[in-house]
Amino acid sequence: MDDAALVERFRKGDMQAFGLLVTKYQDRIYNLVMRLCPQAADAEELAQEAFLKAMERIAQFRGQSQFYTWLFRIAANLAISHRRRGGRLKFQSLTGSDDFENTQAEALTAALAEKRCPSPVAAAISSESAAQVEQAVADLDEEFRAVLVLRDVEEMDYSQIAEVLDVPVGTVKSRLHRARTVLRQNLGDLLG
Amino acid sequence: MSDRDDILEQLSAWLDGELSDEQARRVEQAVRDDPHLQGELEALRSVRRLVRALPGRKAPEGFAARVLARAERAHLLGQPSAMVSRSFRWISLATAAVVLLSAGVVLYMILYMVKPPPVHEMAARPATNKPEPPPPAVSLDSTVRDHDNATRSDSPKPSRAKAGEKAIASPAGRPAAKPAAPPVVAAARSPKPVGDVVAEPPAPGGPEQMKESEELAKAGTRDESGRTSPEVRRGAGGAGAAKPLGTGGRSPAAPVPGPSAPATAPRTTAPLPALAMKNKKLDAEWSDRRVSEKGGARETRLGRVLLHTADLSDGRRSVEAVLARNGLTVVSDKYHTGNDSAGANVYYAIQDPKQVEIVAHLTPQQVSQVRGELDALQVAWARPGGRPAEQTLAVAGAASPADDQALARASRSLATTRMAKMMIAQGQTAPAEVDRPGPPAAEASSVEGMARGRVAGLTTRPAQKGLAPKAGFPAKDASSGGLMPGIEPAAQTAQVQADRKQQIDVLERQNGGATQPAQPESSHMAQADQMRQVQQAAQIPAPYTTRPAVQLPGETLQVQPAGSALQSLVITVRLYEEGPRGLAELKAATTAPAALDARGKAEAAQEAVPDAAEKK
Repeated sequence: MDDAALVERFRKGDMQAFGLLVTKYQDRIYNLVMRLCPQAADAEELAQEAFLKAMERIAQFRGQSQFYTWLFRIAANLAISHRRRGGRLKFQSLTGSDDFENTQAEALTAALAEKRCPSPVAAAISSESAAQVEQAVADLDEEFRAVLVLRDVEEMDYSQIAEVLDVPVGTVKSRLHRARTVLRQNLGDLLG
Repeated sequence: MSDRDDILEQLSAWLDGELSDEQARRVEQAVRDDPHLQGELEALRSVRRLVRALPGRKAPEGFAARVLARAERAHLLGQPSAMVSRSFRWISLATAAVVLLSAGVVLYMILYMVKPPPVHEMAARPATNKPEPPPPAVSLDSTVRDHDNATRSDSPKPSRAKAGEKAIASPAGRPAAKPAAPPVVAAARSPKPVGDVVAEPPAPGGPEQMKESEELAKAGTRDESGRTSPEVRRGAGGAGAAKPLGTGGRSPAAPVPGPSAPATAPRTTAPLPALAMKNKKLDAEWSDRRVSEKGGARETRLGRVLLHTADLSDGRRSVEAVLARNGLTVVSDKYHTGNDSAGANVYYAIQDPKQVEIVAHLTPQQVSQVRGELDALQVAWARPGGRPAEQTLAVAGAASPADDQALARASRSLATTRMAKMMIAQGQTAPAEVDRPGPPAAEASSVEGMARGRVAGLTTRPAQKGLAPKAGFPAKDASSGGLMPGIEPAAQTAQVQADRKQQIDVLERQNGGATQPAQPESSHMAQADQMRQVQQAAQIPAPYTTRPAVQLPGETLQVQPAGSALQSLVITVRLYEEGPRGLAELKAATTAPAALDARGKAEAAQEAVPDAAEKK
């Protein structure tokens, strides 16, 4: 079932549809947040918060853009805001997950999640190299890091990135070039 | 910028295929002619490859379930509804407006058709002819909340809160509560300590968040304040006093209401739509006539009450006090089905570090009362500075019949509200999806009789007879007469009587003078008739269009005689312990619309909303 149908069902009060959307995008949202805000504990809270924000604001989503673009924007903004605050944002602790849709959501994970298999390159990269690259990405200024992650991790095109970050396409282009240039300097050892 | 610099900046975009054909041709030409550009391009390609090779992070195990649990919780707490279409929202708003309008009319009738005379006139009149004092504000709040609970579930909070406040503060254009008769609600928000029970009102104008930790700290010390137990406070009036598990037989007394709150205390008389919606949703989940049959017993789950507390032990004791007042006795810390439920006068408490689940088997006569008190409990907790609702319910205790009457009169407005709710519900046709006939005339009259009984004797409910716990379960300590073990009975009784005296004094002050005799039953029935007429005239939708949140007696289910396979009614109370943020959310549900707006704007300023992308 495509996103538009799920969103429509959710708008009509179908929490199961929301569960499907969560299941479908949980890995991507979590991955995005992790790249933007590498603290694992915060990342999960932020990723959860992104879905909750989407739930709250679903009435504002008018379907003129892709749902996942809209969702990514929420997540990116949350992560960037969190980072700007120095990680001071505290979310409430969970008080038990209850049994709400639990089994169902888990069962649907494999069927619906848009999981991307790791590329051969990814399989080849050593853990040390990966850590070095991750650190280099984490050291980027947030505006450069966000563009880089959305492009090279999420493989969004420039217009989608511009939409998510609410900046002109030209800005995306220049920031991305700048981000890669900085990475090139910082990863000189790996690049030979 | 030179051509070369320009080309350099285009290299990333060329790699990504984001250039126009013309730009791409220009870049390709430049790269072919310039070895330096070729090196740059290769370096950028390598960087991109490395970043793309980073392993993807998968969401932790159970992530989706946790999101859904939080979504449920957020939804129940009344955060902006994600599941209501705009059209339905408008319908809800319109319905809410109609209901509020009619509620205002009803309140006007309740308040001013039995308008109290001045205090000096009250003192001069014979007791039997004294008119009713105006009901405490809590009853008005409850009335509006009950209407909310019944008919409104999705209206935006600010408009509802405003409407609710308007209905409360100035029904039919009359002035709001006078300073001489401060509302009980204010006292509920700022309970005065008795002994060393502490719960101070929030500082005037002080930031709520700053007060929160203090309140929590106080809540945490409340356990040590040495309260009297519900057994004591129930006294001779009730068999089946509770003996809370895991508390060494100690159970809490309801905080005694203090004098009225200072005038500067924040007014949070708005109804709690979030809480109403919460319990309505839980009812929808649970009151679907699910019947489980285990061990020969049948039970029908009526509803689930979700309570949040800053202190699990304290919250549990408050709930147990409510159950004890209604003649329910704890029999086990494990859930049972089977013959033991034949008592229908039992409850079970299952506790883990973060929550308590209390399963109460109720008779039809108990359901409405218990449910109402639990709702009131949550409402009181949720208010800034609020603590258990025993203050407003003003029930309990071993005392003289006269004292009980005085307390009953003080609580009459609450009972009147419940009676009105019952009467309204009685006037509805049976929900379409529930295949059952409407209550026959005999049952309807029993409903009215029950309502009258509540009005006249709210605090002196007789014990459930013939419903003893099953042998083998820890029954209440009959030898102690409901008193706490290890404490001198005489001392406990004296404490209870002192507490009750203070309660009565406070309530009298809040009622603007000496306590008044009970309103004649005919007057209550007339009010109920008027309310029904108003409701019918306004064509207000059924309070529960699908299934009732409160199971009215005689409506569908019959409790079979003890000893046979029983069909009992179940309410599950699930208590969650909240951290500071959870408590803040609950309090936010009662915050004035202006504060909500301010908070929303602050959040909006911090986090860019995705509107802009949509507008593009």
